[in-house]
Amino acid sequence: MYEKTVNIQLATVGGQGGILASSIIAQVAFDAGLDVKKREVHGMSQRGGVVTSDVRFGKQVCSPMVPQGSIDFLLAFEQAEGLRAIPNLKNGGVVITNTQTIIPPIVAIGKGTYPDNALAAIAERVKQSFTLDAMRLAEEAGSAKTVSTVMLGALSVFLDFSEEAWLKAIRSKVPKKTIEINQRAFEAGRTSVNPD
Amino acid sequence: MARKTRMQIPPPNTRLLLTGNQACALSAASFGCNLGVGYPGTPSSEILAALVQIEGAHKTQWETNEKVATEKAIGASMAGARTIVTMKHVGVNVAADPILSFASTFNGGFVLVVGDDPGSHSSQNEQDTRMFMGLFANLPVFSPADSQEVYDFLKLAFEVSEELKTPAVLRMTTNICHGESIMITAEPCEHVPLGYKNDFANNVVLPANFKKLRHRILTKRLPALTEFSEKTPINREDPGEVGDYGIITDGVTFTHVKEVVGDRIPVLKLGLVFPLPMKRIAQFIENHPKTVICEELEPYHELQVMAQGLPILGGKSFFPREGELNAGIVARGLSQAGFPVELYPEPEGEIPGVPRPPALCPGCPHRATFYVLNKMKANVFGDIGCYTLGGLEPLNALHACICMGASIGMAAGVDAVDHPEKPVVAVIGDSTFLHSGITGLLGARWNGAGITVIILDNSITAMTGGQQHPGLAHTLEGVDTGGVDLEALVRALGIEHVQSVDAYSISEIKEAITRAVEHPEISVIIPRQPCVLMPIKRHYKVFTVDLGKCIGCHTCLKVGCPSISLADETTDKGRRKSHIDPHTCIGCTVCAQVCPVNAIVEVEE
Repeated sequence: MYEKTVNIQLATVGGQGGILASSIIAQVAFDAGLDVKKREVHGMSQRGGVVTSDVRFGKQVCSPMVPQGSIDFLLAFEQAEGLRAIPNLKNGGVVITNTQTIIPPIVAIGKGTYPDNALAAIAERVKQSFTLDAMRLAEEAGSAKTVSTVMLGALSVFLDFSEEAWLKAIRSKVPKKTIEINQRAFEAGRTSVNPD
Repeated sequence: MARKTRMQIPPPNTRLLLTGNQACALSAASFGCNLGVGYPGTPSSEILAALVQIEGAHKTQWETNEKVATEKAIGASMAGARTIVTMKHVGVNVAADPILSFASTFNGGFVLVVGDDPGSHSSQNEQDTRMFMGLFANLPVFSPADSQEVYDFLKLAFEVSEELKTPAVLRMTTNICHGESIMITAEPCEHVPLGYKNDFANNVVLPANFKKLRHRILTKRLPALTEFSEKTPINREDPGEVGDYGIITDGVTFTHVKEVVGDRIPVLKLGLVFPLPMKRIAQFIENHPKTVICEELEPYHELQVMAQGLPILGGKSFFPREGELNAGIVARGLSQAGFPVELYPEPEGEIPGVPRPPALCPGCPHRATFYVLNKMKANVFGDIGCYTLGGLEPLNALHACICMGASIGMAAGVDAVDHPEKPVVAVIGDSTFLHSGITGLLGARWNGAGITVIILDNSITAMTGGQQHPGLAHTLEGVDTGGVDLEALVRALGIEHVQSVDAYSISEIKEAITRAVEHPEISVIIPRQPCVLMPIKRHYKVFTVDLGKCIGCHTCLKVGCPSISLADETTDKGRRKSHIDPHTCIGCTVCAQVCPVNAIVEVEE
């Protein structure tokens, strides 16, 4: 399984749970006996800035950073962040976009603009583009904080790890009290995209 | 704070997925480290946070600053202990005085662990610790490329440090510290401190002693280290098929190089980067006449190799000196140097991204103070912490920031030579004040500076992830030793005009600053509210915008809260009203205080 390195990037906004999600993906790959590396880029604040995580797994992974133009799976937790990241998508790569928009305060005060057609722009440029309303699905699962787990559910459809492997990794990483809600969120994400 | 169940050291041959910081902590605990000490600084902060959670006899302590932490580690080393002292690259500047003098003594078991930040993701600059601690301080510098090497190299650093009686340095970078990779554990060992003994000739750096020590270092220790560097397997050659070409590299850059060239081009990978194994490098270059040096930040290897007159194709002529390297940049540089490598696809059609600068969190207790300083048009000298963000839009209330603790000295310096129309104010956080603000305040008071100093007390070291500091009752190990009383400390420095205010009350802050500015002598204000994220997430109430009342004036947007954005609803004149995100609002009330029509109200439970 996975002779060639698989490159996953999570394009998120601080506070969305992107770092936890990337560590769950890394755990799943680790549990499968693969080589795995993970890194993240985040600015100096805890919330509101751009947070990008790279997860790479395969037989042997060298650099912890996904090389430019080499993303196999882009998990965009927010529309505009998806748009920002797609130039680095590999030809034929998959994008899964949460339709949520997070308007930064700087745009609200008129010192910047937010793209009003991000989803369309992504769909236009990417053949394999999937969208889901992860915030709604997370709320339905029981907590708005499980957006990242919904996104993992959607990603899981495209990877060769068993559902139980994902749930095991999720159970090991999320707070005990939230395990059931996270399982529901994962299922919701998993059934929300259909690659065929 | 009761200590949680601590992690057991796993048995040998356990496969783990760890960050470099976790690997460093596990290595320290596994290989007899008796004391871990440091000051938080991204990307190094999580090392001690991980170490304190591992079972063992070691002590783990945050210190007031990097200098004190280093001095403590020096004492432990003199007592024959194994000790690590952790900090970020700029922390080494603070610790430079003790380190550089200690470097001229013969003591062992001391490893300085530094997190450099190429790309300055979370730092005021980029610094190359290989230069500073290697070439300048003449200390052995280990440069790991992944978590396994962090774990292995720290053990080796202890051994080299003890055998050659030299402080040693483990130099990590952001991608090593925060990057996760797989490692396998080894057989752990213990170290019992040998016990402290006086050693005047070694430990008192009087000129007469220093001269003898220095001579011994240059004639004995450095040659021994060089001999080790020539022999150690952590300086190794990875053979390749295309024999004419060669690449010399170290640290995480090695992983980018391997990503690009695989097993095709020979690579000399340096694990010990000071002193360099110059004989092996010369041999490598002789065997591979087309050799380049690929390294992040400064031309560290390159300058030394060039000084030997060894013929290389280049280094910094192909790879940038600024920022973080990656496989794409490495491939481009190698290609420019004529290497047979494939380039990565260039990002297609760059899209101008939405601006998303970091912002103070919803409910951040620093917000109201910067809102008031902005309104007063004060000249604000800031410091290092979350509150540096008070300088960004829309608060725009911080106008200088240089290094930890500098705010008070800078404000006093302006006050000494100029009296601007608007007040001169220094703003510093509680942890930074205790780190290196106290001495600045003492001097400012003594020299009669008429400035206003605001100590933002959120009762944590917030920006680096919520570490304890001496203003808090509990230490890193969870022992209640009692925290320092900031007001009493300030008064003890001779300052009489001290005001404590509610950091969420705009009116209290405004009145306090007005009084302080009018006060002819130095005056200190302490706005106080705990950080909303750490050590626990706080939630008071949720506020919402009464759309019937909102007039679309956007005054609330000027507090710069990420929870506030524009609603779809508009006023009669077509101005969009405000909206508060109920998921992120924690109810600090600051926006409600500035609303001119009281349209921001508490959500009824």
